[in-house]
Amino acid sequence: MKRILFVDDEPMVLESFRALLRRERHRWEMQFVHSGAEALAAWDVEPFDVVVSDMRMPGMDGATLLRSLRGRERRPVCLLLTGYSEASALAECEPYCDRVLRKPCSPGELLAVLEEVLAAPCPDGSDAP
Amino acid sequence: MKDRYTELQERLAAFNGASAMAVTLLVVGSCWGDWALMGTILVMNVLVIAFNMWITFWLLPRMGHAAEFVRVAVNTPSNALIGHFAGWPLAIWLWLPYVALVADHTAPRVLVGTVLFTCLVYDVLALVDGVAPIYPIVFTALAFFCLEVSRLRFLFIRSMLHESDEDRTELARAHSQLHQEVEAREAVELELRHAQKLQAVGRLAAGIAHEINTPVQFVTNSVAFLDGAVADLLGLARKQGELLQREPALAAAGAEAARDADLEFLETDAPLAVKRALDGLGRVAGIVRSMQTFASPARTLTEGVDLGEAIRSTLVVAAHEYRRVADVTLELDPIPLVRCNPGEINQVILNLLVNAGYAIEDRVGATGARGTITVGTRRDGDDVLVSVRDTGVGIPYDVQSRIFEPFFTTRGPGRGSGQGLAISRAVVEKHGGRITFESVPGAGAHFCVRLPIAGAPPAEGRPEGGAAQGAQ
Repeated sequence: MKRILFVDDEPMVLESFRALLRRERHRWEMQFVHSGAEALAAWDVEPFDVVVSDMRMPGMDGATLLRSLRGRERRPVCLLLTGYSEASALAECEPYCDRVLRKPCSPGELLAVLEEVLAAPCPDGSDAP
Repeated sequence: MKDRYTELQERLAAFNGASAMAVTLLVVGSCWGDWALMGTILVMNVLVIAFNMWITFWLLPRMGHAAEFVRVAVNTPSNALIGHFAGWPLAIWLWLPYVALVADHTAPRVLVGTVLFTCLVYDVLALVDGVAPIYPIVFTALAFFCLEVSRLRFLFIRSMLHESDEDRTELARAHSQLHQEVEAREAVELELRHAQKLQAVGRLAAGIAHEINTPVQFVTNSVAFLDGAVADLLGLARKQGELLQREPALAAAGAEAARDADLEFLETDAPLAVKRALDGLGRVAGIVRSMQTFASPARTLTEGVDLGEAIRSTLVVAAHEYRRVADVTLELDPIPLVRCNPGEINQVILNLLVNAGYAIEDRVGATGARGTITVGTRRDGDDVLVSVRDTGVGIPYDVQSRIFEPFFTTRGPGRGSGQGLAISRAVVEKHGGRITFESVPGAGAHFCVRLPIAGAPPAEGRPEGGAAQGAQ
């Protein structure tokens, strides 16, 4: 089963993703954590195929987390969620992730992106989709 | 210069008249004792004086300078005749230096002719009368000496006047230059203040948009979850209802519970409510996104700006200003990406839309009628044209030349500061473009913004360019 990790400091957002994706619980194994540090701890227990992280978080921000994860042995597909839409802010995120999602991203869009990256060949060690 | 010299001459006229009177009195006085002769000379002088006054007050205003010829032509022989009758007293010779001294030097040749003519008439007549030659010789020489003195005086006065005129011109030039500089500076300051305000508002809007996006995200997720949950629950309820129907003991209670919950209504309307909530959230997200695009803090020249996109997001942001009174028609021809400052150009489009909304509101009033705002884009050679056309009240002819002036407004308080078009023009001109309009009062207005696709040509020491950059 594919494993997905969600990272967001805002509990409401995290809970809403959990509720939204509940229907997919039979297809994907999902974990929801509140900070970059928790994400790294969860990763150490067992790596994930996809990491969806918020950009702005206290402590470790999304870019730092994803950069650190991409250096790991089993490289995950990294998705970044950001509330900023300026080209400059998006461009800043670009190098650290495979996809930038603008907040708010619609449930349909999120699902479509997840389906797409999970259908692609496993990214570990090879090129990201 | 000549005007001021003439003015000076006119002020001297009273003094000249007094001198002439003194000479006349001396001439009359020189006949003291011979009362009959003195009376004759007095009468003759009175006639000459009367004639001169007629020249001054009647002929001079009608004939101008030529009247002076008449004066000389009559005065000279008359006074010479008086000299002849009076027996050439010393006083009569004073007319020669007098004529030379009061002369108007603006026409030097005529002047020399006049003095020469006067001296000749006197000298010839005096010599014929047997006067000792020393008088004509001395007084003719004195006349020409006085002529030279008065000529030098004239040159001196002229050079003084000339200098002061030059000073005045220089002063006026410096003044107008200063005025222009102050105006340019004020325009730059106005733009700068506005740019700073916009920047602050933009930053605020971006921050607010970001804040709104987070709740919109989890509310959307939650409603989408409820969408599925409602469908699942309704499916479950139907299934349980069907199962209950098979059990006669429970069927009636089951049907009643379904009626109590108004299950039929829930089945049709709960999914619709969820759909409405999702639509509304989608709209909120769209507005916030437009606001972010519109208030993009990029205050610098940006390559590849999509003006069609800029117009669409500005329409969303400005909707509040026109939606009650106007419908918008888009005539967006495909145009190339433009090099410009998107924040500033958005502001120009916003100003034009807001003005169009006001103009339509002024026309339809409370009648409930609606106007139309047509926003178009078009390519024209190396430029793109953005046009905003409304069916509002139009611009009265008498204010059409002033609408781009800073702070000019025909609207009451609370409906614009009158800076919108002034700033729009400053922005468009900074981009190397032009903003023009056509309006028939009562029939609407059509504003057209022309922008070069390649952006403004390199600035040639334009002060506002530097100032705007300093504002970043």
